[in-house]
Amino acid sequence: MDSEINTLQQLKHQISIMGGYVEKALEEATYALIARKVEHLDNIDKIEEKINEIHVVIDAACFKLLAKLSPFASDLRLILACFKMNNDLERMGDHARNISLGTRMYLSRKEIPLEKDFLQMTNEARWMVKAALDAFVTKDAEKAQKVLEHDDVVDQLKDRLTQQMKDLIKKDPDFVESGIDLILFSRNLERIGDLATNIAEDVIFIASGDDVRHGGIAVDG
Amino acid sequence: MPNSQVQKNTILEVKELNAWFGDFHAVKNINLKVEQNDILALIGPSGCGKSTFIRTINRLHEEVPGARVTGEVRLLGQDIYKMDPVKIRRQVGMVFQKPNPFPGLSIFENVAVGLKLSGIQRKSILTEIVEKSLKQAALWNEVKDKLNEPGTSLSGGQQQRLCIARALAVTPPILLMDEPTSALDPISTARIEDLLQDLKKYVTIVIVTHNMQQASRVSTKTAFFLSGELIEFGDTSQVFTKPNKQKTEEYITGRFG
Amino acid sequence: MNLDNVMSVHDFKRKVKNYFMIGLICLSALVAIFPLISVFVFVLQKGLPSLSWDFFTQLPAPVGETGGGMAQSILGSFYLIAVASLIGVPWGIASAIYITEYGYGKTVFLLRFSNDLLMGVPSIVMGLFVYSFVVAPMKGFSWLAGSLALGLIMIPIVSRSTEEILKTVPSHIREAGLALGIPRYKVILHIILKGSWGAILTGIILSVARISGETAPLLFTAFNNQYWSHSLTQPVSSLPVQIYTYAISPFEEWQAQAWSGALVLILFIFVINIAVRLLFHKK
Repeated sequence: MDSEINTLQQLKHQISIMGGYVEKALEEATYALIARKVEHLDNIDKIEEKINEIHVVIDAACFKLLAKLSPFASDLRLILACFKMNNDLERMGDHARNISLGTRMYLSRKEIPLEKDFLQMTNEARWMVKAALDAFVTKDAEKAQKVLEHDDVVDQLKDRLTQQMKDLIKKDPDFVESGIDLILFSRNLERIGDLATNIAEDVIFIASGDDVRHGGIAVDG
Repeated sequence: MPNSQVQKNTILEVKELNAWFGDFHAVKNINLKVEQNDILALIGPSGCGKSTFIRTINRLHEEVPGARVTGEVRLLGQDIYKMDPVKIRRQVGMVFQKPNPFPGLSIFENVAVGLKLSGIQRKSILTEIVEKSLKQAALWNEVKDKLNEPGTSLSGGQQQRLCIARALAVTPPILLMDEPTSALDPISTARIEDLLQDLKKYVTIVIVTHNMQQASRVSTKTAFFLSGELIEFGDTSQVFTKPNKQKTEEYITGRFG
Repeated sequence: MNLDNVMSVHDFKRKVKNYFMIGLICLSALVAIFPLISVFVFVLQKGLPSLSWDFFTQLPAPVGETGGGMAQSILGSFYLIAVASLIGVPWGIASAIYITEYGYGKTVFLLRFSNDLLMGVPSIVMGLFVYSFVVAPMKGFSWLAGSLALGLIMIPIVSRSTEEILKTVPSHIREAGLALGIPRYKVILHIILKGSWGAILTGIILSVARISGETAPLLFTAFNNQYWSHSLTQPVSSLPVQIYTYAISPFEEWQAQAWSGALVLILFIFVINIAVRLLFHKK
């Protein structure tokens, strides 16, 4: 299947397809969690399979394109970025799967009324993934920059949510299991946000060649 | 970084250089500096003026009828356009696109001819310099037993290394190479590319190449020419990963040219 | 279906056509070399009988006496060619060097054009020219005048052949020389000429072959001499003129000797041509 990817355009297309699957997995998992509809989890395994398949294909394609095209400048940056994004997307898929696995348990436990913060966090994480992928497709560094700015929001939400759950558990130990579940979900969502940030940084790298990670450390040569 | 602390000597400095063929303005207002032990690669599409540019550095450009140059070229601080071209050329080696050992001259004579015709006749000195130059050009082991055979009897890659030895024999501080491997097979090309890394120790190199992989492999600095203008000049690692100019980006990613 | 049979009719037609064309080409080649062979055979038949050692060593015998030779003419021809070469070769090479190495634009066009014109000037006119400007003022035919006429004929030939050879030396060879800091004149002398010396020599020798048969220009310049002559200012004999003189004489013996002279001349030219090809065209 990797032989179908012979141009950078095709490589970009595969990344956006993979991104679509990741978004879908995340959507299904969070919907099942929030709407308490366990049947939505059934699709996720299949989506995971697809994601893993494309993950391998894109890796091989990057390897092949580097060797065949000996690319320079933006072409070189695109392939390197795709190579990294490929891993980040696959990790996102894993986190979505973690949420889905947890959700099955969570739905059988004592229900905690979901707070505004948790809903907001889900939306933020999903927006970041979507925005990062959009920025990649349209090579939009400005949009990618916005994604970076949202990382702190998700982090803060996670901290707040964790504290809330701790308080809840202390008050009523019956919520121990479902509370820990929610802490883990927020942890997964926070990681997804981080990975979306990575993708946004890669988009900026593709567009400008600048490495903005960790506040942009200068590297010589 | 510690590297940038080291003060390097400027070997070549070009200021506001222009060159014409008759009415054709081939090289437009070039400014650049080449430092000791640099390998400067000149890239750009055909007819962009890169070959003309290096031919202004040894004043070979003016040998063409109707050719004209303005501006300054400073070699080790001296303005070469205020000096005798013959003397300048002894300080600037040149290797051409096609291997061109002098026909009718032996391998030895090919290397010695530059010294001989500038007045050095002592056999012992010539022998010593010929051996040294051939060793520098990584050809000595292949030809040491047949120095009296004609230079043209060697293979293409060997001939080109012979031409490099011939240019090195007059110990120039700078060596110009005009697409030196474009007529050679990949193995001979690789040998010459390896050789450049050794030569860097003795001589500053300016190389014109159409092969961008070659430019990125061998050079430390890259200059991109387009329509006679110097579009971009910088560290090779920067130019090939993150060019500053859109035109450079388009050229090195193969969008045109 | 047997494809061989289908093809064979077509094949046969094509083969016949092919053989016919080859036959035609061979015939044309025969037509081209027929004159050469017939002339040679004819001269051989006529000239061989009276060719002897004396022919190369003796002066002509007075009318009525048998024997004698053309020794003075053979030596005279060598004299004339030698001095003509001294004039024509440096001049021709210099002209070629100017055209290929120094001149450009109109100058080159003019020089090359005048060389072509000079090559087209009938040799007898060259003789008349030298007669008016050398023989008449000096009041006498001479070896010098003859060599001058032959030398003038040589110039455009040597120039053209040398030019053709220098043109085959790629310009980057010259540039490589210049780039080594070698002055242009030294590049030409020590690199360009050295590298193409064999081919240039070929051109020179062929021009010698060409002038060794010239008769007309010598009639007004070197004239002829029945005795040894070693002086630049004295008339000198040459093979072609002696052949001419003997051939139009009424004496049968002289006519026979004229044929021998012709044979020697032809052989000389053959030998030169063959030697040149053996020496310089090994590649």
